[in-house]
Amino acid sequence: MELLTTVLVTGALTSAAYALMALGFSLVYGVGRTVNLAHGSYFMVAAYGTYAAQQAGLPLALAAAVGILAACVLGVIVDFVVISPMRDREITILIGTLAVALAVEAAIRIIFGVGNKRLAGFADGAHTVLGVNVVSARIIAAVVSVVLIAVVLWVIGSTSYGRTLRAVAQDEEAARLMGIRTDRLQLSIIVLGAALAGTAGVFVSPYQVLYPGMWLAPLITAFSVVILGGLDSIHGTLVAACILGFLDRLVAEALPDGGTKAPLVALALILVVLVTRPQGLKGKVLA
Amino acid sequence: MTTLRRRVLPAVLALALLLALPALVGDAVLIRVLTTACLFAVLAASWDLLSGFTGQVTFGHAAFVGIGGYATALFASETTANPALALLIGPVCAALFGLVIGIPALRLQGPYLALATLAAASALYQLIFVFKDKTRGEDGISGLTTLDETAVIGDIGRFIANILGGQGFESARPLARAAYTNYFLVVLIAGAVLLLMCWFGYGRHGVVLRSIGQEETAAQAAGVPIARYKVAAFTISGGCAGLIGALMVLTRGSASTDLLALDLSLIVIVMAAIGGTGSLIGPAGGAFVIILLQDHILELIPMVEAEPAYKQLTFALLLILVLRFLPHGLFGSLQETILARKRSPVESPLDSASVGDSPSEFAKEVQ
Repeated sequence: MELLTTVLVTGALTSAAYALMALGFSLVYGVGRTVNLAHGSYFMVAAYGTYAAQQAGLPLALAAAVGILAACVLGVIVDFVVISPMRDREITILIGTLAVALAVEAAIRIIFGVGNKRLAGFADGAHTVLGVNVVSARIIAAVVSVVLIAVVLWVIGSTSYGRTLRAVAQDEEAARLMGIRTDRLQLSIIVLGAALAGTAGVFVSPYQVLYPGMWLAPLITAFSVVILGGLDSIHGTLVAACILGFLDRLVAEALPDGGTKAPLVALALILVVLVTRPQGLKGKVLA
Repeated sequence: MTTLRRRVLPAVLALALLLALPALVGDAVLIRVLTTACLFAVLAASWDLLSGFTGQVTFGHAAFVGIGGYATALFASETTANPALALLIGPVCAALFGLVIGIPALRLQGPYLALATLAAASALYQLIFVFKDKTRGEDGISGLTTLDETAVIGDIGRFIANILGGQGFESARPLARAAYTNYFLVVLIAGAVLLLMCWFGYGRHGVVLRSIGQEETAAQAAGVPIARYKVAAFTISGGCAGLIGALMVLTRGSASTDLLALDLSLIVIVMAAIGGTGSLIGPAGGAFVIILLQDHILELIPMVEAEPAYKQLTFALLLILVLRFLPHGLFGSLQETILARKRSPVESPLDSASVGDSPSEFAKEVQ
């Protein structure tokens, strides 16, 4: 029983963080058909940006804003340098955004050094939820994640901006002919994706450590969640985030030495799903 | 078949140069760097044969290297047979893995395939730690017999080194002599494999593979057995990468987790893309550029020596520039300007794998 509540509580928190990370990745693919391997770099740049702003003496809220802004700026750079000029060349974008991610990693290492850094969060200490002891920063991250996901779903479903997004996702050519400025829209969605990943970076990093290779884990998480759910399905993304989040905690808590086995089980699940359902779990929702 | 000859000629010349080089430079450190470069050249070319030609981009090429390498290390440490036999066992294991992974990979494309291969390689990486008692986990398997110490193959290597090694080899200490011997063996084996790959890639099979990368539906409609070719590409590419894994282990005398690490898969892609995918020679050249920059040229700059991250920054920015301005890569573009004087411009090989081989040549080569 204790195991069950532990898995339920920590699994829910993990799933929420996964979903926030994957949401932007999914949006960028759904609208622009681009797999952006620099997505994890937004996460890292936001975390390091917040750290640097804090060191410079800014209050936390302002520092977080600086961090997220830095992620957005990186998003614009990625769009101008790689994605826009190489649009329609899927594989080139894959490799180009990988190059950006490697360049950002190197730049962070040069500026901040290889050592681990700690980011102060919005809350210290821990809370007890359903009898399970949880770090407060994780709860805040999960709440932020759920609120943002709700906002994004509302924007896509109920605003005119969301309608144009869906139109471009369905048929970019037709949308352009209907007078939608698709290039601007693509840029806006990349910035939105960067902002979401950056927000994840600001809220998730306080209970992890900052180091120059930290972009990879969230990228692989986002990639896995989105592929598992089906690249162009937002609902699939959310379902997949929950599956992977709960699975991770279940394996880690229930099996002996589960921490090392959890990634293996997740990878095996991804491989099995991909082989049996090559388009991911869910069909198209956005498109 | 003149295309084949014109394309392979530079490779043969490069091979001759590599064999002559030790007598000219006579520096054991540089010899070790060149050994690494030769290994990565074949590795990048093998990635290209699979991903550049057929458009099935894999992010898990390290899986093949790791399987070849660990099979070699286990064979060398658990049996008393000649470790050089692992040069057969490593590639066979990796090729079998290529076959096994190639069949389900048929159902996947684009980003789905990229993630699946990445996941497969990561899963293997995790397995090293699950089977810690055999693989010795993080420590790796060390203290293995190196290639120059093996019977027959090692003797051949020393024989060649005696002839071609020059002053540097004769005056060298034992450890440096081993480096020379390994270098010549690696150049010969890697060169032979690269030539075989060129023979395969520029012959009729290569044309078929490119047609899959270019326009899969059309190729299928034209009666190309796509599935068979794709799986064959996985198997051959995997086997070649497995051989490199075996050679890496046999030249170092140890196997460690970096053989299976994601970093290896990524750097291979960087090398291939910088050199120019879809041309085999391009990625091989790209590997030389990256390894020489990384282990030799950039080391000479004090700023880089103090902070190795500048190397990665250099490679990443170079890659972005190449992707933006030289869609055929450094060597692909060079080769195209030499080869394609009469031909109309072709699309990026990354997306269409359409280097050379106009339809008329296709017809000629099939006949």
